[in-house]
Amino acid sequence: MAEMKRLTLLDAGIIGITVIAVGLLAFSVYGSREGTPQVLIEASGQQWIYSIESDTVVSIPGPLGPTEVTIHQGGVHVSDSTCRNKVCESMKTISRIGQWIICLPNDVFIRIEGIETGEREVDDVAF
Amino acid sequence: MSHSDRASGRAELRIRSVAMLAAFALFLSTVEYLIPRPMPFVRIGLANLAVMIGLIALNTREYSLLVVLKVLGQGIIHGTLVSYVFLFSLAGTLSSALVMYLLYRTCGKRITFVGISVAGATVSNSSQLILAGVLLFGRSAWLIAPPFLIMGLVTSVLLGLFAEQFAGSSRWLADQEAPC
Repeated sequence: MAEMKRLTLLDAGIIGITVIAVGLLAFSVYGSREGTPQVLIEASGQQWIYSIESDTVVSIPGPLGPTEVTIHQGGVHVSDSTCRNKVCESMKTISRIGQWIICLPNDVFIRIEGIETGEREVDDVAF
Repeated sequence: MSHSDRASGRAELRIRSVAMLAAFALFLSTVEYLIPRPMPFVRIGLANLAVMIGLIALNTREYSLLVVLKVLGQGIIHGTLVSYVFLFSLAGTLSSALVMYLLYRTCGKRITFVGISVAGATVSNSSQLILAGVLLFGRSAWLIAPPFLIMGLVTSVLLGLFAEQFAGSSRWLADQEAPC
């Protein structure tokens, strides 16, 4: 067996740049974890916003048919979907800011976002 | 390599090496097709291994042929040849094959297959995400981007390590003539 070559600087650079880029992307996509959580649903070019405290079942229209989203006790999950794979139904209930459920076949995106709650307080340490 | 070898090589290509690697690529994508996936768009990219070996064993024309055969063959095996999914496969394979080729040819000993593999996977995944954003999901495509890219990073490091190991120890590869 040939001896393993060591990774080069360029290898490390490529991996490092990828990790940093993905990290920045993740941060910008999932955003800050502050504020009051609310449920944002996007499908077929439309948007719906619900309070996470609202106990409700909503039917979201997608290209394949309705996707039923249940908001219950501060958690959100897909309770029924017309898509084939049902990956969205098997995903766990989400409750924290930044979490998401996606049904790719039916083009339904559910995520929990934080909305700003009034003025932020100035950090005592920063002056 | 002598002049006559080069002349006949140009006329015929080393079609056996290309066929061997193309068959290997299709075998690997079939194996990958058997492995259950946590999400529909997450893939391991096993077939990329054949393309990386092609970097060492093949010249530019043969390598291009291998890449085309891989895309077409995968389209046939997965039944996506005449669907929009084929566009994704095409974009991913062509962009990563090009980037890996450029890195391999320009960086020489300054890079191993780990770096080449990671760069190829990231470029492939990014171009597919951009395509997904443009064609299907709009801005929401970015929501699935981070886990998609992280999965690609992990699997491509493993594949790169394997390719590096293979490159150092394969007798088949040693028997291949160096590409001109």
